[in-house]
Amino acid sequence: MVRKLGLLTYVARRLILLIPVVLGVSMLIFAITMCFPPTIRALLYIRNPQALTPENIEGVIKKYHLNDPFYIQYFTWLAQVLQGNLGWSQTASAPVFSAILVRFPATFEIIVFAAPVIIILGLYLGIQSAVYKDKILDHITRSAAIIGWSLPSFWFGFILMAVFYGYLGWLPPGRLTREVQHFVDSSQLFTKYTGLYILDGILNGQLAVSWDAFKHVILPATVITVIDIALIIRVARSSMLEALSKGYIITAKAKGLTQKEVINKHARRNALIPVTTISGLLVASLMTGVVITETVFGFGGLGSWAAQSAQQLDVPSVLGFAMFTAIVFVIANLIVDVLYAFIDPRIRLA
Amino acid sequence: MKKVVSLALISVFLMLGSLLLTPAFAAPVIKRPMGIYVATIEGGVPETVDPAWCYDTASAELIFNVYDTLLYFDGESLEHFIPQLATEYTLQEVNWTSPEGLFCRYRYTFKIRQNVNFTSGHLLTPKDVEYSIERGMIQDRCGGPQWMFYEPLLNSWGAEAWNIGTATVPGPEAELVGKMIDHAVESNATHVWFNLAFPGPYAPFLQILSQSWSSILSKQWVNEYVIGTLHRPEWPGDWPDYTSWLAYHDPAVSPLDDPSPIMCGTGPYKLVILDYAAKYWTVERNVNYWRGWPAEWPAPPYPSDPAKNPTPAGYVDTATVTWAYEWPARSSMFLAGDVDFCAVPREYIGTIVGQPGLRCTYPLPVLAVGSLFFTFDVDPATPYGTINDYGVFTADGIPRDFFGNPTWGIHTRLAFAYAFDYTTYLQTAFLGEAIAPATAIIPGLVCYDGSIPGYTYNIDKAYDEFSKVPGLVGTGFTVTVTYNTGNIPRQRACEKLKEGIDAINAKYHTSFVVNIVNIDWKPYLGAMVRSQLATFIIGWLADYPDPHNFAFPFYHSEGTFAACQKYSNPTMDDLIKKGIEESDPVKRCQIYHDIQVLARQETPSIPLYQAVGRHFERDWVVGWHYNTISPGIYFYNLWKWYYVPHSEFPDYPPYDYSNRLPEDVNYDGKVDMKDIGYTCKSYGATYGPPLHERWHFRCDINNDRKIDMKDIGFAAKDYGKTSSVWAPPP
Repeated sequence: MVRKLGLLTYVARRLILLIPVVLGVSMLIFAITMCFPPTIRALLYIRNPQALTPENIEGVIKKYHLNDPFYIQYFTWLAQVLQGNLGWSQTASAPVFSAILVRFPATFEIIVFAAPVIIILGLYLGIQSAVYKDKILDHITRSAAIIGWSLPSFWFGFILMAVFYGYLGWLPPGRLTREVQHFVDSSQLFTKYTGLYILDGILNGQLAVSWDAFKHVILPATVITVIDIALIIRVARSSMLEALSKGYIITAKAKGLTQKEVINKHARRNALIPVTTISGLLVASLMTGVVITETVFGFGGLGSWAAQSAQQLDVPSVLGFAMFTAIVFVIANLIVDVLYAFIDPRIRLA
Repeated sequence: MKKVVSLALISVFLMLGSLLLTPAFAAPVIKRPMGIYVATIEGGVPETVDPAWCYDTASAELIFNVYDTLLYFDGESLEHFIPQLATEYTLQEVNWTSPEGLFCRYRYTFKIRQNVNFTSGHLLTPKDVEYSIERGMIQDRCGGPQWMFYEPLLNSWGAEAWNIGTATVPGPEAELVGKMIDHAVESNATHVWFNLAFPGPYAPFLQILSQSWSSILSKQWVNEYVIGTLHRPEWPGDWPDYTSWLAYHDPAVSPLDDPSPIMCGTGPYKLVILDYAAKYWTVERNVNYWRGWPAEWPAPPYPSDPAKNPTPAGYVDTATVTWAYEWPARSSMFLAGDVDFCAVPREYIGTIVGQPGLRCTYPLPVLAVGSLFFTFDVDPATPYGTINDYGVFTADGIPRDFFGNPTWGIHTRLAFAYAFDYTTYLQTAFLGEAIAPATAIIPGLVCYDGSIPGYTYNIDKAYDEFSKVPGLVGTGFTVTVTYNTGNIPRQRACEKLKEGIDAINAKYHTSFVVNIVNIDWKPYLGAMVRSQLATFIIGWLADYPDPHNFAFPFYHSEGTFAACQKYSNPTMDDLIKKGIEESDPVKRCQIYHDIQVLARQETPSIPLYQAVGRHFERDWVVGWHYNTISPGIYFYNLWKWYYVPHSEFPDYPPYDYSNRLPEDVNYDGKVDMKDIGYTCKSYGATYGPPLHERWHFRCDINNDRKIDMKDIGFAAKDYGKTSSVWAPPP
């Protein structure tokens, strides 16, 4: 028997489902750590890197049962994780949890600007490309998308930096200029409420900070937008083409509806489902780090830290980052599922 | 339609291509006239802010700017000093025996400067000097710099030379060591004196007192703030008994670093922030600095010639050092003028030299060597690779005595030495501007022996050496080679070693694996000290220009590197002790010859490069000078051209023009059309005020504060001339 569920119930049910999913992911991640010997796994429980003496590590191995069966170790570790202790990040010289908290806003700030443009503009161009299939607009859009997708981000970033920073002097690299960074870090007039400097600048009434942060975000956001918009354009175009070839579109046209009405009322909504799926995954992957872009612009976000941690065999950081990534993807999928329900009422049915 | 698409594509590519062909960076006007911004390599985080703990260049740069020492280097000189917190000194032969029976032949006495305040407001007293030096000796952390005080003052290498035990169970000699430390440095109301147990005047002592580890802290500040307010476990400076000092000996972390860095010196700058997450530190001017702004140097009665002192004519209010940027962003900021000093990897200098507004000082003699070190007994708790028990070979790891086994360890070390292509490496990573010395006693030091043969690349010999290790060839191994993040020459060295090992695999079908891992500077040093790096590449900058300063850290069992490597050879230890004690130059060089021969035979480390130095800065920075053994940038000497036009200070030439061509506007070593072009571009600009937007002081060749036909004429007149200073790499 099919039962209709309200949106709130649906969200609540998905949220409850989130718990076993995260637990499963955490178990998987922890199982991977079992490949390492107890001496390395001990790093997951150490808060001070100077404590890495053999004697202390032996103590940690005993305290956290690192020679005991998997399930005992897992629950001991989980208890630590739930208390916010993901171990010590040597790369960040800080606990993993705070390393993520400090760096995530930087990445998020780029994505906040890039993602809406990628999705909205990508969708628009994809739909227009499909509507005007094989016309000039279609060719230009597709060519631009292919070129954008093909651009190496480090090269494109460097070119943009050379023009807009080196030549024009408008958009510098980094997250803030030196003086503003100094002000943000050491002035009592500034409180880091969110770590998003544009927003914090507004909240503190320091619009100069917001403006400076905004200038620094533009180039990395542009690089990401130009490169990733291609994906949305391609998906939107193909799903729109598919929708336009359906029988109900021919019927609508036969009824005498205008092109605009056919597209807006009948075709576009059906074309949105695959775009939503891809957008969710895209945004989630961007949130968990845009390594090369952050590195080229010296932006100091999550991606460059994670890459550095992996290079430096910083096990606690890599595991912490993996946990974070898993959670972001689970949440992104949840949001996408909710959006499905908005876009297509049939999905609300269990 | 296809034509339209093709045209669109061609237009896009032409547009992007033209961007590449156009020089994007124009010469900027001076930014931040009262601030200095230094972009160093990523990962170049200071390990510590504690002078007693500091034994690395990144930390020393910060410490030098915040603290003062008794003496400081006189410009580029290695032998002459200018007085800082001491105003005069004497060296006497005293033949004095301390209460605990330590015989001291010589004594250095320093008169301490009066009316000097710490940034906390506390007045400097001789007690602070005594406290600072004794605190360092008490701390004596593993791998630290304190051996340089133990050697002259206690004639040993560190507190561990005696049976001192632990804080909970003091050893039988703990009390004796406490007394010796207490009596090694003494003070009264005006003077501080150092009693030397070393059987000689110990020539490098003044140089040791001029370095970061000799910085003076305030005893009162430590007691009131560090201990009283912050409740950190710091030595208060009293001797209620002579065993309680053990509680402060070799701590896991310095109380001045943990949980947050704190500094308080008498130096020209104050620490504002050291942000590990944002990767920068900033200091701001100490307006009450005892030397004043701009400095009026006291006429020193000894030993320096006041006429030679570089007298700053200006200053900067703030200075920031960042390690947040990799080369693309760093170079962009340097070219755009946001960065005043920039670390330029050798292989990228072609993109930097000759750019307008940048200055490359070259060649700079360097008393430093980068080496590949082998750890003889690796700590199995290391996160960097799998370490098996002694003598146990597996394909995915190495035995902990892989490099240090007394029977066959020499063969693995020699095999690695033969597997490295030195010639190609020096050409690619240093553009040929470096040599690979045979031992750590490098050219430039007395008693350097050029007849000792260096290492050569030969994979057949490398395989032969591996074959001499029982069970190794059949099983294979996986070893992790490490370097500090951002150091591209060391990264290239790791890659070159891996290439050599891979070449052996290809030829002899072995399964030897080299994994390369980069680690940030701070954890890198920590892991090195804990013997957790099986092989690592690191450099050594001379503390003082003497072969002992290289022989001891590299080859003595208590030395900075050798102790971390767990390398020990009693014959070598004995030779090193004889070397520092010998005063006859001929006999001394014979001893150092023996040390070099033995070091070459034993190969505890492989010297990879001694490179010629290059220094890059914006040409509006004035006052920088180079000292071979002084690390980092001393901001007190610096100012920017914008602040003080040099025509107004004819007595203080901002830098030496004698070997330069003023007409060589872009510093590429020759006067050509580019220089004339740059001057034309700024034609009509004046110094102001206000400063003209196209003003560039290098184009004001005749220094009349306006860029006109005369300047163009000067450039044209010397057209074709070349500089004797600049020499492009081969």
